[in-house]
Amino acid sequence: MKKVGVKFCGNCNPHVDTGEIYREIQDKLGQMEGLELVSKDTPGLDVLIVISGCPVDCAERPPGTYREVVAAGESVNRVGCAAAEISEKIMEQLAKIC
Amino acid sequence: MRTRQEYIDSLKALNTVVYAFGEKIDNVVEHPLTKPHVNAAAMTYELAHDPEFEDLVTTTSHLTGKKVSRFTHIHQSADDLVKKVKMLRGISQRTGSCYQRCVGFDGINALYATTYDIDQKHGTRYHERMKDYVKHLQETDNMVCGAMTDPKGDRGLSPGKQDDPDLYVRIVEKNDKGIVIRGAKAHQTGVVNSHEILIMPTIALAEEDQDYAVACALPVDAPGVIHIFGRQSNDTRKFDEMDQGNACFGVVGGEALTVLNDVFVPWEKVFMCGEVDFAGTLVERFACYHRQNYGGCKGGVSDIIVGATAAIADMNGVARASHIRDKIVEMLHLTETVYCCSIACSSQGRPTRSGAYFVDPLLANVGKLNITRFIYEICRLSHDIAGGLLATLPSEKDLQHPEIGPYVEKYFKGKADVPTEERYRIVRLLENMTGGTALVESMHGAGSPQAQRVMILRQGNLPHKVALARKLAGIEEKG
Repeated sequence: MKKVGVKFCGNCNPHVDTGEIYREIQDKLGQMEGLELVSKDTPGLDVLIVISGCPVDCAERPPGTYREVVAAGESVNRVGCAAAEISEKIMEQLAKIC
Repeated sequence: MRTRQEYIDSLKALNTVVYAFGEKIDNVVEHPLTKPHVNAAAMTYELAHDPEFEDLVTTTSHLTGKKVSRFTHIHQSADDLVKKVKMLRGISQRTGSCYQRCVGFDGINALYATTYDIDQKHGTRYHERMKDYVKHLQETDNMVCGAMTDPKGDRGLSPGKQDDPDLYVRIVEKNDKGIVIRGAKAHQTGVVNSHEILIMPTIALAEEDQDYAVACALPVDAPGVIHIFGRQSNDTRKFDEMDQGNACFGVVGGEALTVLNDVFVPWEKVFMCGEVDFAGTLVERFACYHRQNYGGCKGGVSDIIVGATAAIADMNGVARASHIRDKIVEMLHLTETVYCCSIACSSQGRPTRSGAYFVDPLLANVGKLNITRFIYEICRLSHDIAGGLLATLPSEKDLQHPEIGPYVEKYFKGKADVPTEERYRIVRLLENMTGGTALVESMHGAGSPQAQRVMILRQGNLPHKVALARKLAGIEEKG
């Protein structure tokens, strides 16, 4: 079981609803086998999903050797997408690296 | 860190003496005049426990290594300064009003750096006390009211030359246990719903004003402390709901006159006692930290005003008119300009000798001076777009009245698909956020415009600019 954590940027002036993206990811992860949503501070984290409200992506990263999937404003891993597609694109990236 | 509810419960346990409208307020948590300001401050506690916001609202203490509220943190980098501004904008977007904790935050940072410098020159031990005090704040997550502004009496006279010597807070007694202070602090944002007060001098002081060179911390409910809550424009609307505009969080911070009638402060909470040569440094540092804030907090408040203005334009059916769109663009431009100033003065921050980071003072003052103009312009444009309804809308009681309510409903309708009550609520929000007390706070909060002009002239490097011009003009320098 791979451990997946989520980290937010702090949402000073978000372009997207980061809470909604998180809830969608939560639902989608619940339907995927082999992945477990855990606290971002869990030791031995395999993947960190960073959800930043805008393209600046100033979220601090916790120490660790995990791989990252980064949603920053209307983009995932620096590829632009519509806000409604963000959680789906995150899941695609997760599937690639897990 | 305290939760929202723990903060509210902690206020109930205090014996803070608060008067308003000639009556004593026994419960600031529930009283309609003070409740919105409690709610706004409570948001700072709530967001510290929200994963979506914790990256900005919390940080790691350099003193203990523990996770703490950023409002109790000493800036350790330029990034900390930037995060402060971002945090302020984010919280403002959720309250639409002042949440008051930045004043104490700026006070502890200014004193942290200045006590270090005082100790270096005078061999005193203030900085260790200050560190202990910061640790105490980080441990308790107490809300601190930064108390700088004295009543000042005749502005043309120094503190010691006033007809009434109490018009600036002063030390009236020193003994082996501590000091006794007397005077008052004016315009104290959030003091009635804080836990502690951090007293600082309000101006640079001369040698003969040693008794006025005092910085110390005391509980808001210490014996001898009385708070007289200030009136705001429209404040009796706090007894209504819709007519308040922002019923949950109110407008600005809830200010009070805090009277200090011979209040005892133990030595461990005294951070300056007679060192007149550092009063000016402390005031300047505090002022610059505080002026840094405004592009963050007022930026967030302006985000709400811009949103409300765009909403009312749509409800009125004029959102697509080119002049409306142009004015909205102007409002956005002004909002982001003030935010730019706060980000800029933060990113150009540098360490003091204490290790605490300090903003670029020139850029911080430029930013606050912009606030004294741009917020007025943003509000003016919102009035332009919203229309005269802002000033003539009947009360919510009329809207809800069984006989005349249907007339209000019918004749204050905008676009057919927009319920009148929604239009009413947006107009009230705009009205309360863009006039009266809310505007004056932008002018005088963190110091009046002239204070910023003085600092800009001092920091503006004018001789360098003159030299550049002379060189390009081909003027040869002599000798």
